[in-house]
Amino acid sequence: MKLIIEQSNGLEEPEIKVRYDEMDDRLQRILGYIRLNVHSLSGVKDGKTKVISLDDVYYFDSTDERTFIYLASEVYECDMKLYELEQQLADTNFVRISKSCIVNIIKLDSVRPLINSRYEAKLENGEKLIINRHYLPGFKRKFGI
Amino acid sequence: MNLIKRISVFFTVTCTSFTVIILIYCALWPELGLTFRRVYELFAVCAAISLIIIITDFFRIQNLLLLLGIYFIETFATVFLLGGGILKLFPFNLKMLLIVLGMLTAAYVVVVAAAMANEKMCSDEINKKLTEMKKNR
Repeated sequence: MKLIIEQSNGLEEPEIKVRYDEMDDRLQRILGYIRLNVHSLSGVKDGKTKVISLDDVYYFDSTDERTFIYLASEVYECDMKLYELEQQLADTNFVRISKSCIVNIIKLDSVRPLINSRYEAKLENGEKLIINRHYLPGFKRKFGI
Repeated sequence: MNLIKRISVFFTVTCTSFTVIILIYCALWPELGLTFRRVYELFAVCAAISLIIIITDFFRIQNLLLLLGIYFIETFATVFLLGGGILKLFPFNLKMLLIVLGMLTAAYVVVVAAAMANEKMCSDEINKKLTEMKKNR
């Protein structure tokens, strides 16, 4: 794979253009990583708003109609609904794993099967999440399984 | 889960449970022998249970204990209504109830163990890919 970086005058913002003959897993991962870094969202904590890069997000969780952004050790509230996030993050490394949770697969440490076709996902920060059986096929598809 | 996957699950669960039931049946009642008709009747019961379990799946019950309870009741009801009532596979008495309960439990444990083994292979593959992803970051 060739990496070409060009400096060009007069651009309003940096451009990333990817040329390919056939899409493969490796390229898809790279594109997912780029999409993660292109997008960001704002989160609120203690009345203060912060712009959060998607790359720092471990998972999104929805409780009582409110959506929260979980980072390594901090939690922010997000003004978007979980289904809106799911739609926006469809082509990234995020995947829905339960009715209330969307996880960033880049932040996964490991997974292990539980009884009744569910998985337990361990995150890099030690937190554990349950991958619901109905979302398992979508989760596996993210890994090409 | 798409239709092909559901059909695949249906046959896997049916064939696994059918194998276990046949083995236990032959071990418990070797003198009865297995007639052609009896084999098909046992298969019909296993297939009916698998079908009911797959239909239950559509309801997306989140509570694991509730789901396992529903599976158990459905299985028990199918065995006794279809197997005992319609197909007359066994007489209705306490001894048979306990034997059938034991057979169902054994079949359930084997099916769950087979499913877990399959999921373990999948999770190993995912963990391998996660390790590769981390190396490439």
